[in-house]
Amino acid sequence: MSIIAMVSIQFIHGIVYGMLLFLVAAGLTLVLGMMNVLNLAHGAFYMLGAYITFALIEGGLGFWPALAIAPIIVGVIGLLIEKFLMSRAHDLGHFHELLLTFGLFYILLEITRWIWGNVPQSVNAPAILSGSFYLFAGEMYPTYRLFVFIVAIVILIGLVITMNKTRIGILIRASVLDSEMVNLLGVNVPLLFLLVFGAGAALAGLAGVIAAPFLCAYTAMGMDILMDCFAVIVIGGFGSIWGALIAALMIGLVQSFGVLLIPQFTLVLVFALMAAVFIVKPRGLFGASE
Amino acid sequence: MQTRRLGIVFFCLMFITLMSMPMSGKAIAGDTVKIAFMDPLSGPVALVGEQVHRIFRFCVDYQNKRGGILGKKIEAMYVDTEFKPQVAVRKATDLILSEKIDFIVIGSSSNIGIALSQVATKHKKILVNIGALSNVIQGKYFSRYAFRPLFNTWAQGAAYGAYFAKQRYTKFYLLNPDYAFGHDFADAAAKILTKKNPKAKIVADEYYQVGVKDWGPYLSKVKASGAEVIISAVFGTDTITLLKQIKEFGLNVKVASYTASMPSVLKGAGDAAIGLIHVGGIINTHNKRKIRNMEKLWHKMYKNHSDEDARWAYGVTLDYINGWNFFVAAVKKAGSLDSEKIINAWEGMRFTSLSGEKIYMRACDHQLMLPMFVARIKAGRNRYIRNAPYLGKPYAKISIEDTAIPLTPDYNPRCK
Repeated sequence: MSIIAMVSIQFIHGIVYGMLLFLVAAGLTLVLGMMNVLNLAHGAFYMLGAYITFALIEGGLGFWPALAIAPIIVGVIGLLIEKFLMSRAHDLGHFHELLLTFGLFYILLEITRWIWGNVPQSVNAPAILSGSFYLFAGEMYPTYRLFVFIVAIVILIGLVITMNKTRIGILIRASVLDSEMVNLLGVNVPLLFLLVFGAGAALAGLAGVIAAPFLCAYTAMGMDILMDCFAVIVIGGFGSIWGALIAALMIGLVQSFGVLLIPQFTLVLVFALMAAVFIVKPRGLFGASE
Repeated sequence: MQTRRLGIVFFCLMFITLMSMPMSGKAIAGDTVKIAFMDPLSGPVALVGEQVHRIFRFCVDYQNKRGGILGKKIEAMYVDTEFKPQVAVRKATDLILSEKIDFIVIGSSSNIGIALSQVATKHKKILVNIGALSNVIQGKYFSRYAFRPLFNTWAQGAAYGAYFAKQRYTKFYLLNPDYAFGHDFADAAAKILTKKNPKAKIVADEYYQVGVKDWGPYLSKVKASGAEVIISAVFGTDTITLLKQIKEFGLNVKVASYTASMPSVLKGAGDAAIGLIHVGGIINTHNKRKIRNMEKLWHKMYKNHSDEDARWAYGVTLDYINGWNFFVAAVKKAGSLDSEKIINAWEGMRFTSLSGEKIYMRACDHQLMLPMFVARIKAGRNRYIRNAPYLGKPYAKISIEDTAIPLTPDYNPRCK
């Protein structure tokens, strides 16, 4: 394999993993930007997405129905959590919200263990996506990874259009700036919160569905991804979709080229990147300045 | 009045009897063998610990049904070490001083093995390690009170080295978890492989952080290196993702990894696990009477367990039980619970393993010497779990000479 081919392949690996990471981080950054809550339960929503996919496929539904149903189920769980738990904690301050989501993470984790056990559950990609396609110079690439990339692009476009071109997006952005003012203007901000939280959960669920065939459904997956997501948020800046995208891609690339060049330090590289961004731009690459 | 006085006397008698009950309880305890079974039940490796505790309980149940040890029932204490050496040391010391335990048994976590070896030396108690694998426990951190009736990491790596040295492959990629265990494993595999087959080439000796999500970057390096075999001590979920992604990329390499015989891994990786090479001391698919018996007993005890992995004795389970049996035999040979007598009896002692092999306890480092077996994951019906490939019968044996860790003063000054 030539050096150029090797570098291009590693580049593609980095981009694809970065896009998967973006899928998970998008929901987290949405909730964080809107509600100023670092929702730790997000990792659990992601895990639930994967397990529900597994259950739906075991139950006889195919991958495609699961792709539609699992995010909805996780979204509804998110809605219920916001409606009955989170909304009560908003007035008590960030610390309570953080503790609540932290507790929820473990509750959802234990429920998952209780239902599906500790054994990792494998999910197979649908036949149409399980092959490989011809990339270049005799290099084959798994079709499923292309699918991950496409789904992430679709979600990105959807998010950007929703946030910039629709009324609800405008309201969300206004609430990010000053939720009290928006409330005074007669907008039902709690309802908006509810929708955003539900959408964030559904996005995590969708990422879980996408990740399930790529990895498998396992109980530690939520905590694993949360670490990377946290890095995405810090690097990209709180609440910025573009920031999340750029940061996720950067982390993906740093990891894949790290493996190529200095495999022992791959994990360190991500945190070094985080530290570097902290020094240059403490609020993250796309973080709003005060 | 008379009846009332009688009532008081009766009450006093009752009271005295009740008060003395814990005393008589102690008296019974004197006729038991007290063993502390220590392994993490909380902390990051709690899942492994749960598995190990299941093995402990099986061993105790098995032994008590056969009359216990030296005719005394085992009184088992199951202790959570929380995966913290200092906690393990504190709890073990407490139990030795207050409960007067006779033995300590551990089943995983080498860091705790090292810490408890010191406790064993200090209090002159026998420590039986049926599951922690690190070479240094019986090497650099040797205690003459600690025994390991189980293979070590060296034996696992060396078994792969010796096996592949005889195969037609020449290019090997070592891809291992980045901590002491992974390094020890790779070291043994590389040394034995290149010593036994000068043509064998280690194209990469690489280490990854546990919890890899995307193996893609590694796999393109594997492909570019032209490696024919990946030798890896990969475990848990990493094994499943690695195998699945190798298949996804259509990479044509053999994978050698001994943790892949776990049912969860076989189920998780599915067809991607076919062809994988496994090594172990006692392999559950080995058609030996003792192994089949032990499997049946295990299943009888755990058939209704909620965790699918627990219902049958797979993977290292039988190796642990084999180690336990060896320990019981050593105590029987010593004829006493006395530490010095047991050391005398066990050093150099010979034993027949569950697979019918002649094994022995090497005297200088208290390390079990046993041949290892090689088996392959095959396509077809798994008799334990639905929709999964299965581990075939062992088809190659690696002799004790090839798997024994070399005796150098560097390894253990006691060995020359």
